[in-house]
Amino acid sequence: MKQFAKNSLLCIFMVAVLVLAGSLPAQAHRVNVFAWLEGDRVVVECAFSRSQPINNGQVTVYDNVTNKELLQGRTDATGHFSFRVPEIVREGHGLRIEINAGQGHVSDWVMAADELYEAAALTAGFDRAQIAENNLAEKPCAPAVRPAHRQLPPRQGQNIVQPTANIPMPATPDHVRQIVNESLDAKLAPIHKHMAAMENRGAGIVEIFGGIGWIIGLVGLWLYFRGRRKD
Amino acid sequence: MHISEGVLSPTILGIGAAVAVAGIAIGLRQMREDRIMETGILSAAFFLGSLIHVPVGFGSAHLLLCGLLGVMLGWAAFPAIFAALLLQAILLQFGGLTTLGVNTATMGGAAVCAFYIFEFLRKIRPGHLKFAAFCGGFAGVAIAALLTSLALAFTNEGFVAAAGALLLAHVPVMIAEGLITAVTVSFIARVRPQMLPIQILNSKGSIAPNW
Repeated sequence: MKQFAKNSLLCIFMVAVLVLAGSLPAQAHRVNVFAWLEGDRVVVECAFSRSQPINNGQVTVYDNVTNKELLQGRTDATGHFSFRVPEIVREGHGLRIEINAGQGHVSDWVMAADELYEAAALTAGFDRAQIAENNLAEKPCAPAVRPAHRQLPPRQGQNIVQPTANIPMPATPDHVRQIVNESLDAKLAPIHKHMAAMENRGAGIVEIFGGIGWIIGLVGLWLYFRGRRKD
Repeated sequence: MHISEGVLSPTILGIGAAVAVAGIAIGLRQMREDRIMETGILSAAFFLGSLIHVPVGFGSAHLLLCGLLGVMLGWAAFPAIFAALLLQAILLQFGGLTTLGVNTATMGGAAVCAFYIFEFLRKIRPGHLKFAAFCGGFAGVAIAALLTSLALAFTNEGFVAAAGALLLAHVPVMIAEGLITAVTVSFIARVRPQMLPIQILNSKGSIAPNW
């Protein structure tokens, strides 16, 4: 028994050396995918871990209700891919975004319909604004309304809200909505980033020690039942 | 090399689960009581191994340690790997619960193959324990890559593409694990040879695990 304890200690020592020699940073091998809304576009971020984005991974977007494939694309070097919110969302359908990084690494992310509803409303609002703009343009000396929310909102680090054209006074509800949406996108961008980072959190010390504890516990159980059988 | 959920067809998942159950049964039957603790500790090493990223080469590769487990444990590597993969799936979201059978079959199968390669080389070249252990560790990763590709053969990725990508990405891992296995086995053979599943001191050398 003494010998056995010695053996075990040696093994534990070996494992510890192995882990330290591997010089953590521990990098998880889980496929992370996270998607959020930026204006009327959905941005998808794919990574194996925070520091290891999936380059050229295949993104497929499905209708969450009918499971029909809507569109496909590939991630760029930073693991990002963005697409315009599809029309089908207006019918109250959610989206399922699947990332395939190859060699059996697949993961998906579901965006519920109500999450996307705002974008659908925004697009609808834009169409109305466009009509209003066209009507105005016909009249001489009308101020030009620029459809700024057609473009991707500014990324983090350059959080300057683009000047939303010369809004005619008094501003219409659509214009106000447009300004508020732009401003919100800019303000919420860091929060989206933070949420993505939390989603992509790798294995923590809790999981690692938990796993080792479980294995030692299973060994204990096995030994216990073996011992009981003998009696 | 964890296959995620929703990639494989139910047939492949079923075959994988059947192979895994058979391997675990053989492993548990062969496991001697005084080796249970070592099995558990090597299982913990396997659990941790996948967190250690090998930052050399292409793609995303981490240590597997199936060669080391095979050489050290023989068939008992099957239950050890199963427990570790189960916990990786639950705690770390590597792989998945439905693909647990397939992943156990590929990793466990590779471990057992590594064990027999180690045994064979040790038998034909009794003086070169380190070499045999290196080959065991090296082959463990290569066979794991091939078996994983075999499981992926019926997806739209195909066997050749998957095998090419996996083998290429894991060349640094193969070398690293060959070295780890060689150092570990030679160290244990020197200080505590009874920890190995084979009798190093026995010049006859038998293929069957001697425990």
